Amino acid sequence: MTTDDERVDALFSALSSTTRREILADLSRSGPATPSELGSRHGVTRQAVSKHLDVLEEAGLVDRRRVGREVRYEATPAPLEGAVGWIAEVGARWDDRLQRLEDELSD
Amino acid sequence: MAEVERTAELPADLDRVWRMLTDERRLGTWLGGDVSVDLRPGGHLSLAGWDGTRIVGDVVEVRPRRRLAFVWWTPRPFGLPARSRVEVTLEERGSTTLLRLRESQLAPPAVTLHLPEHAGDRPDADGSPRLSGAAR
Repeated sequence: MTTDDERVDALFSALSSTTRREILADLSRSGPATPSELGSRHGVTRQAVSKHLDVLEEAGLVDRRRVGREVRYEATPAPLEGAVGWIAEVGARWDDRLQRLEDELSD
Repeated sequence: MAEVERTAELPADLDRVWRMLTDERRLGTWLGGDVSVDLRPGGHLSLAGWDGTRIVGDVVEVRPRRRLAFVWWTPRPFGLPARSRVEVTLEERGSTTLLRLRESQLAPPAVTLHLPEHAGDRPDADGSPRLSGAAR
């Protein structure tokens, strides 16, 4: 059992990576995919994709299914549907943007 | 409705930050995509994000060196795009600038919930909300 706070934290940290948000958007657009397929589509190693998928799975955002010898991941939208999901998603985008703004002004 | 707030102390003076916020090309650099904006109230705004997202909206407020506000639609990985109001407020702090960001979720304009006046305390009111397609 996890508390609400732990769920929010897991959701927030899952969405705090641009690559993970891209992987999630990809899965929801294009349907289930294997880690190798996702790796080549997003220019990251299979190992890195697997780590990202573990974090997304922890937050309840993806589910894995074994199909024959393959493991395919699919997006599971439920945690993003409410206000908490919106806050995590929008907040993660602004953290990225404000970081880029700071970097840009530091030059 | 949900809300996201952030503050950042930016390593530049107010004039430089304002120029950064109002230059189309540089706006895209930190918003994360190609931006097209007509920066005056009612002006159109679009952001073609590098990650494939496409945000469209309207400029609501432009107060030079002080505040910018937009209303925009953000596509989400799941479900309907979310409509929200974005406010960027600046405050001079000598050689640095304090930026306050607030994004507040708005109800979708296409479906507005009308509650009968004094619903519940009028015996003749049926008390049930109705949906209409009024825009904004």
